[in-house]
Amino acid sequence: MIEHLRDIIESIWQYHPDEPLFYTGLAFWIAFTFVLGVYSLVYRKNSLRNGYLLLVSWFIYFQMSGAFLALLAFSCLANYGFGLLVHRRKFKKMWLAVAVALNLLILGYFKYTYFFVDTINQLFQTDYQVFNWIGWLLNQVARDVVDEHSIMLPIGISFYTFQAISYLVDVFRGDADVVKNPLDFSFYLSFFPQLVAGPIVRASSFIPQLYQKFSLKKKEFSHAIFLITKGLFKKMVIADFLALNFVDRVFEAPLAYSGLENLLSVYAYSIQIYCDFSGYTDIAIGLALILGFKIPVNFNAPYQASSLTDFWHRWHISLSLWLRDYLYIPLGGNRKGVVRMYVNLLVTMILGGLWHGANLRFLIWGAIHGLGLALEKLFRRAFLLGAKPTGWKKLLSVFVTFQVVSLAWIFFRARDYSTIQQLFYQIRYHFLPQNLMAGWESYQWVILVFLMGLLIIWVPNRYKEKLRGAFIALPAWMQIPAVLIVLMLIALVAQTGLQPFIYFRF
Amino acid sequence: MTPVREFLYFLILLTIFSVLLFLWKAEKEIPASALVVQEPIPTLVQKTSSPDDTLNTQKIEQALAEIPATQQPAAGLFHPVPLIFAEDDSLRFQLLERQLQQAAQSNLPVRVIYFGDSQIENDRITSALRTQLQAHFTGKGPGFVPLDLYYNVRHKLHIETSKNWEIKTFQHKDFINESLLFKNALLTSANAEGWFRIRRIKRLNPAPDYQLMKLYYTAKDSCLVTVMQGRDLIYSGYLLPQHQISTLDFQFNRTPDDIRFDFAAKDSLNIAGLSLETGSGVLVDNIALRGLSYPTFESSNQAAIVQMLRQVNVGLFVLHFGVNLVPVQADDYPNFRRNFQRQIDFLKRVSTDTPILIIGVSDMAQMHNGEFVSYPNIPVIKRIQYEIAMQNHAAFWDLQASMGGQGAMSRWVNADPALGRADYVHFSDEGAEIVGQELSRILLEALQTPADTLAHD
Repeated sequence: MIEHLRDIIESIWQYHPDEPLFYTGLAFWIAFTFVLGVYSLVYRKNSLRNGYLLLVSWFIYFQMSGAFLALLAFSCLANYGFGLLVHRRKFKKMWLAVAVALNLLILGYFKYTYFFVDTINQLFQTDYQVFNWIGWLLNQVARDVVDEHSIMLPIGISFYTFQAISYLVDVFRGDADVVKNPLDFSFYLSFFPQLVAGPIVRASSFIPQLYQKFSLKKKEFSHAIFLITKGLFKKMVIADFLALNFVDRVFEAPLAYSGLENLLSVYAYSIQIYCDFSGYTDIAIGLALILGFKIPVNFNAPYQASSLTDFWHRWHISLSLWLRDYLYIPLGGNRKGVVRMYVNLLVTMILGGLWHGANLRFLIWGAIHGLGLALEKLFRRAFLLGAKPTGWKKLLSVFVTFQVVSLAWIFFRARDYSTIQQLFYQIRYHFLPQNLMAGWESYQWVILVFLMGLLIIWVPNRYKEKLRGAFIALPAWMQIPAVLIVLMLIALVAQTGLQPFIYFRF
Repeated sequence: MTPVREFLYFLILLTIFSVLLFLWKAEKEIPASALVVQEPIPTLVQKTSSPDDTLNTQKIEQALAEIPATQQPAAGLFHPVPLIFAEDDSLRFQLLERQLQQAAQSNLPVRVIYFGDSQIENDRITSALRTQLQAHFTGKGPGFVPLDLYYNVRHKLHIETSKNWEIKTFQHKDFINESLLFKNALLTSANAEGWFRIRRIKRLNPAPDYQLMKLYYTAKDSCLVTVMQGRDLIYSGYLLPQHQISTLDFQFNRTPDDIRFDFAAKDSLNIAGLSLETGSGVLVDNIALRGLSYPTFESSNQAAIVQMLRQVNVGLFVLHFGVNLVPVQADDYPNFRRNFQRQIDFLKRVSTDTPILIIGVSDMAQMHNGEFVSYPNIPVIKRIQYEIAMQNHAAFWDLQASMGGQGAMSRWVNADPALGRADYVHFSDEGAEIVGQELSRILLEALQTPADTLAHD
C-alpha cells in the first residue's frame, strides 16, 4: 500500500503526459485534499487566496498539459493587457478587434491548422505539410524542445480562449468591470475546476467573487459533495462503462454488429457523452463550490428537451449563451428579417460545430443542428405551434428531439465517413433483433448500465431533487459511508474486465 | 463551513476509501505464479508428442530459436516470424508454388480458401492477402461470397437480397449445411420467388474487378432465372433440377456495375454461394465463421461440400481460429484437439495434396487489477494448434509471436493508429491490414524458398 501511495504521490509531482492529473484518478483527490489543507491557512486574505489558487491552477494545468502552461500564461497576460486597452476611451474598437483576432489566431493555429492544410490539399490536389512555426521559434531559443513538424492541441484552449473573448467584449460593452490586478485576471482565466472543459464562465459573474470573503454553508458543502459523487458516478460508471464495453466497439467496426446493436450504440453514445460531459461539469461545479466560488450550471436534463431550441437551452448552456451573445446577436440575430435569421442560425451552429473539433464531421453535426433549429422555427411559424407542448405531444416531442440529437451525435462520434456509412448500412439491412435477444446473457451488464443511463437522462427533476435533498440533510457521519459506497462501486466498475462480445463468441 | 473542516472531511473520506481499496485489492490479488505465462514456443515444442509424431524436435527448436525475441518490440509492433513446417514435410508448398506459377495461364483460378472466425469478418486480413497475391500472380475479385446482404469495403460492392430468401447457416440446428461457405440461401415451394442484386458503389470509384460470376446451386425442380445488367435483360432461362451442386456462369467484358438475378422456383432452390472472380490467377476466399473454433465440416452435408470443392482449384487451405476458445480457461482442450483434427482429416480426404496452413491464435487480453494482460491459456491453445499442424504436415504461423508475444494486443490497441479494437480481441482495420500483408509476405517468402534447401537446412 505504501508503495502504491508513493507511486501516486510521485505522479502528483511529476508530469506524465500519458497520465495527466485528472478527476478520475485517486492522485487528483489526494492532491486536492492537500490543496484544501493549505487553503485552510490562506483563505482569509483574498489576495493570498487568489494567488494561491492561481498557483494551484497553473500547477494542475502543467500536470495536464506540460509546457503549454506557457501559452496559458501568455494568454492571461495578453488578455489582461488588452482588457486595460479596451477599457480606455481611445481606439476601443480597434483594440477589441486586435485582441479578438489574436485570440482566434492562436486558437486557429493550434486547433485548425491540420484541418485547413488537409482541406487545401484535398481541394487543390496539393501536398502541403504542416510546419510548427511557433515550435520553430521556440527551438531557436532552446534547442529541440518542440517537434517542428507537428502541432499539438493544448488542453482547454477552446474554453479559455472563448472565456477571454467574452471578458474583452463584456468590458467593451460595459457589461463587466475591467480587472486591474493581473493575478486576479489570470486566476479568472485559469481557475482549474472549469479550465479544461468548462463551463465558460462570464467575467461579470466570476470577477466579483474574487473580492468576496470565503463563505460556504454546510448545505452548500453537502451539495458540492453530492455533485462530485454524482459526477464521478456518471463519468466512471455510466459513460466509461458504456464506452469501453459497447460504444467504442461498435463504432470502430459497425459491420461486425447487427443493425439493432448499431442503433443502440448510437443511443448509448448519447447517454455516454451526456454522462461524461455533465459528470465533468458536476465535479467542476462541486470543486469550485468547495473553494468558495460559484460557477454556472451547464446542463439541465437536455434529453428531456421537447425541441432543438429547448435542447440548446439545456445542453452546454454556457456555450449556447456564448454563441448567442457573441456570435448570433452580433451577426444580426432575428433583427434583420426571417431569411437572415435562418442564415444566422445556420452559421452560428456550423461555427459552434467547428468549435468542438477541426473536422468536417463536426461541421456536419453543427449544420444538422442549425438546419433543425431553422426548420423548427419555420414549422412553428407556419403551423402556429406553441413553444411548450403538453401531454402526449410533449412525450412525442421529447422522443423526436432525442432521435434527431442522437442522429447528429453519429457525426460527432464516428471516426470517418466510411464508419457512418457502415453504421447506416447495418441499421438498414442487418437489423437482426434476434441477435441481441440471443446474446442477453453476455449483454446483460451493458443493458443494465444502459437502462441506468436512460433513467438518469429521463427521470424527472423533482425525483433528482428529492435524492439531493435527502443527501444534503444527512449529517457528515452518515454522508461519508454513502459516498464511500458509491466510490467503491466506481472502483469495482473501473476494475471490472471487459464485458464479453455477444454469445461470448468471436 | 470552513476549509479546515472541508479538509478533515476529505482526509477522513480518502483515508477510509484508500484502506478499503487496499483491503479489497489485497483480497483479489492472485498469486503471481498463477499469472506467469510460459514462454510459448520452446514449451510448445518440447511438449509435442503423439503416436505418429516423427518430428525432429531438435531441428524445429533450432529453427524456432532463430525467431526474434518477442517480448520487446524494437522498431515496430510487428515481429517477422516465419512459417514453421514439420521436419519431414518435404513437399511443403511445392504444389501451391507450381499452381501459382501457372495461375496466369490456367483455366481455373488457384484458390486460397481461408476459413476463420470473426477475426476475418468483413474480408479483414484476407483482403490484404488477396491484394498482395493477386498483384504477384494476377487474378481479380473477392472470390466466394455468400448470398446474403453483403458489403465489401475493399471491392466497393454490396449485395442486396429480397426478403423471401431463407438464410441458413451453421447456427441453425435443424438444418444441415450444404455450402462450403457455411451459408445457404433457400427458396422453397412455399416461398418461391426471390431476387438478389450486386451493385458496385460508384461513388467510391471502384477499380476494374471480377469479370466472371458463378452461382453454385442445387434445385429440386426447374427454376426460372432472369438476369438484368442495369436495365438490359442479359439472360432468361431455366435452371434444370440438380441434386448435385452445379454452377451457372456469366462472363462479362468488364466488371458489371449493377446486376440483378430474379428466381421463380417450382420447388426448393439452394444457392450455396457466389464466386466473383476472373478465369485465371489467384483468389483468396474469405469464409468467416463467427463463434467457431474450427469449420464444422463434420456436421455438414459433406457430399455437397466435396462437390463444391471438386469444381474449384484449391491451392491452399488456411485455418485461422482460436479466439473463441480463449475465454474458456483450461489446461488442455481435448475436445478442440479431437474436433480440429477431424476437420483436417476431412480436408485431406477431399484434397489430399493440398497444403494446409494453420494460423495460431492471436493475442487477446483481459483486465486484471486495472490493467489489460494477455490470457494465460493462449500458449496452451497455440501449442495444440502447432502440434496438430506438425502431425498433419501442415504449415504453422505463430500469429501471437508475430504480434509481439505476451501483452501484444494491449500494445496494439494502444498504438496510434490503433491496431487492435477496444475489445482487446479483434484487430482494427489497420491491424488486420498489417496481419494480411505480413501473411502474404511470409507466404511469398516460403514459396520462393526451394523446398529441398529447406529440407536439408
